[in-house]
Amino acid sequence: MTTIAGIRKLLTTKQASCVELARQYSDAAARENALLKAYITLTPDEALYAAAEVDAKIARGETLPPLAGVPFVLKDNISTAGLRTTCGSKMLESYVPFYDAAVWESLKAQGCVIVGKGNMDEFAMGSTNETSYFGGARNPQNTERVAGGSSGGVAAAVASGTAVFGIGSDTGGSIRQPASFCGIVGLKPTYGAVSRHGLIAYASSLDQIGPLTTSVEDAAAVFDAISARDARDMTSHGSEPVSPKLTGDVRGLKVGIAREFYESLPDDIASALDFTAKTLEKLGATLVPVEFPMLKHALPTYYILACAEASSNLGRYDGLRYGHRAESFGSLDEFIKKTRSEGFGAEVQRRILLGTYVLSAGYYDAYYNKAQLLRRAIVNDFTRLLGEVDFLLTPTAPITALKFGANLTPVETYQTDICTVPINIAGVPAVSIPCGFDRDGLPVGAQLIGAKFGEATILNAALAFERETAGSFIRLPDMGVKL
Amino acid sequence: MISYDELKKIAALGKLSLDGVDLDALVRDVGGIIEFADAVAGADLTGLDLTERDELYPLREDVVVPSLANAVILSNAGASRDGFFVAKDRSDGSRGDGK
Repeated sequence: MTTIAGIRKLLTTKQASCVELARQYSDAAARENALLKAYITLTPDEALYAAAEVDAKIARGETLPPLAGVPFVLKDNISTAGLRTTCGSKMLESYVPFYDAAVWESLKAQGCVIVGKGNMDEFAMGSTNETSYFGGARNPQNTERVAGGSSGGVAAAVASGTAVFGIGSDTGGSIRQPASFCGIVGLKPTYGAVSRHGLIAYASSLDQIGPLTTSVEDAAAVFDAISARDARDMTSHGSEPVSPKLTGDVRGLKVGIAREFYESLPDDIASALDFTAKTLEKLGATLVPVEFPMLKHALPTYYILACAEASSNLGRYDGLRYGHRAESFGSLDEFIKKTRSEGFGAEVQRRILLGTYVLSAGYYDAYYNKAQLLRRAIVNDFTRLLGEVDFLLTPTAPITALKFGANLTPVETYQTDICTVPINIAGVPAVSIPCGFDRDGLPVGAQLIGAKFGEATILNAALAFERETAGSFIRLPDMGVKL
Repeated sequence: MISYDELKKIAALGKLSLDGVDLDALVRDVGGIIEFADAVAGADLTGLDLTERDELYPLREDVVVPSLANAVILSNAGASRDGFFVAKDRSDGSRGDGK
């Protein structure tokens, strides 16, 4: 397992050149990808090009940005000019953007080395990675298990050691849940902390970009590199750097324990969460029982709003301007319908249907308007709770990594998102950290939820836990690059 | 639940073709999801107001920026003519009218 600091040390002490590192990571990614399917597109040429630039800077004696030369994986719904960006879909199988996403611009400016574009559930709609048109990413902890979704490929790449960090997107848990399944750290920043310019939209009022890493300090470092106000995303706000605020001191902090998140948890997951709470208490935090009665409404609210927004956002895929197009058709209307039905997978089509239904005449008030009001109630609940405590501690998911082909119904799958979706509805930040293992040895994730722009608070508590447990819950498999 | 006719109507609105689709399975799946979404019906919405705005996210003025070049915009299109998008050839060999 190599961290950002580890790569920096190798480069600045000249134990390895950046080109050598880029070659090793690219080779490892290609080797492991045959089994893991963590990457949709590997980018060895781009990696070597970026690495050569970093080596040139080192040769000139220039000061390197914090993430210079660090190999990473970018989720394949983040636009990269000249590099295909598929969104895990047949619809965009051959799509090559002509502009860069804001986060990719930031990472290029840092001198990061892109290893590849990470596999994902189609249009970020899924919790297991199995809706990817390219086949689901496997979990490096146990390759019979899913990597989670929708940023499962990114999590698998990081957990396998073929990338030092990853950038994912999170609309209802898509960073935190795969991080939990793969036993790594995943941060969903505050809505507005990171520009979404160039992120292919799923549900614009919920989407946010964030890091997946093997340590809390790395999550903070990547967050600092990508968080900025950007005029091209009217919701972007930027954020103060959090790395300088990390002390690992939680003394005096109040940790909210909302019992609703713990109902019906399997014993092994409940036990890992109990250990996490007691560890924070031992370090000087105070556990405070709180109530979050709106949790029961979070899932239907989320799926109504997310699908409504998706049905609108995905209206642009008509086969005329880009993407898949039907081969034969009788009329323009038939061309568009055939294009969309051929290009979108079953789950995407189900969500478009639900979104269209809840926005249609006769149902708009009953579903969409009610969900908007419930969103306000959930926001109010979080505002109240996070006024009483410094952060909330919950499970990241009520399950660990599922077996491939578990054959859950759509609704059963949605119900596994219960712990993560309220956070996106409220726009607050949350981080998932590894906190134990289930009876099958699979990682369990704990979720720390903060107030808006409270990333420093939750990362600080996460760091305290990580240090106290000496990172013993980050047990990554023997794959990838060994430096 | 959702009826077959309702599903067909919604699919048409969503620009999706149902040709070759297992309609029984789709009605069952979508009906199950709608039933799940129905849980919002019983929620107490007293005192909630959608007109409240979050001061963290003030709306900004629109700013006009230069457009991308026409050729760039057309670079991902399957067919174009005279600077316009064109739908691909129809099955009968005539051009589509997708300008």
